[in-house]
Amino acid sequence: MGMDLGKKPSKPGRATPSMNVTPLVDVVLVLLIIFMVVTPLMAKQFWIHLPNKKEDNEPPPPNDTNENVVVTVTKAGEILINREVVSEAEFSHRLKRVLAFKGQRTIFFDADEDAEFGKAVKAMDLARGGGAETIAVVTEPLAR
Amino acid sequence: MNVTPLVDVVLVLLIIFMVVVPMLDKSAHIELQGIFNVDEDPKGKTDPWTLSLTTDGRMYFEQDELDPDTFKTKLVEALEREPTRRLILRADRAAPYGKVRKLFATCQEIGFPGISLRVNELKNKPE
Repeated sequence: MGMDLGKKPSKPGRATPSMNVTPLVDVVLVLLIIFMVVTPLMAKQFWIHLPNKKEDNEPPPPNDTNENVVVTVTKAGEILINREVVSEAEFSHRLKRVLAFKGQRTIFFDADEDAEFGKAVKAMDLARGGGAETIAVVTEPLAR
Repeated sequence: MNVTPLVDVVLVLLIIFMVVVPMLDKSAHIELQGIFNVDEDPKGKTDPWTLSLTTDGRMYFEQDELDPDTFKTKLVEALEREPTRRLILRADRAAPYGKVRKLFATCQEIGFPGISLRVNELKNKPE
């Protein structure tokens, strides 16, 4: 142990002070392991809007899709932008263009009654990846 | 007898259980969907209410199972008690969307401005 300070030799009969770091390392490693295990379990969140029916500041659920961008998911899991089937790979690119064209940052979302919820969430995720800042769900069935 | 290592281990176990137990959800087994674009930070500081929906359509509010006919009153009461608290939905990814939509419709009627979906975050975002 190199604890010699300059010229002074360690005095005989006195132990050289040395720090035992083993317990510290033990505890730190265990904490590290705990956090490694716990962190992937922490679920994240995804906020979606429920536009208020009674107020008119949000456009009503659109049926004719002239101004609004409506994303729907079919029973089979296909994604549609304004009733046009778009493949998953080109979805975000396509949505970016549609949003830019309409000057919108909001999309309306709906899925088929029997579509899997996971697929719907995936589509919302893709929509957010494609630049949709606000995702509003339409609570009246739209998807065919 | 040297009890220090024993105490160390016991304390660490205690810490582990303290961390893990609140994360266990006893209500139901639910598989969450993994996505890439999750919310940056949870909105608001308050702990949200958890609404759970299983594949077979059972619903839970926090830990209690809900009756599909009366759950609306329960949500109305909850919103009246704490109007600023958010609602978070833990729905199984295999649940039919129709059930989820019905739930959304109810929450909308009651007056929740939105709802958070509980998801898992996937890393390695494409592009």
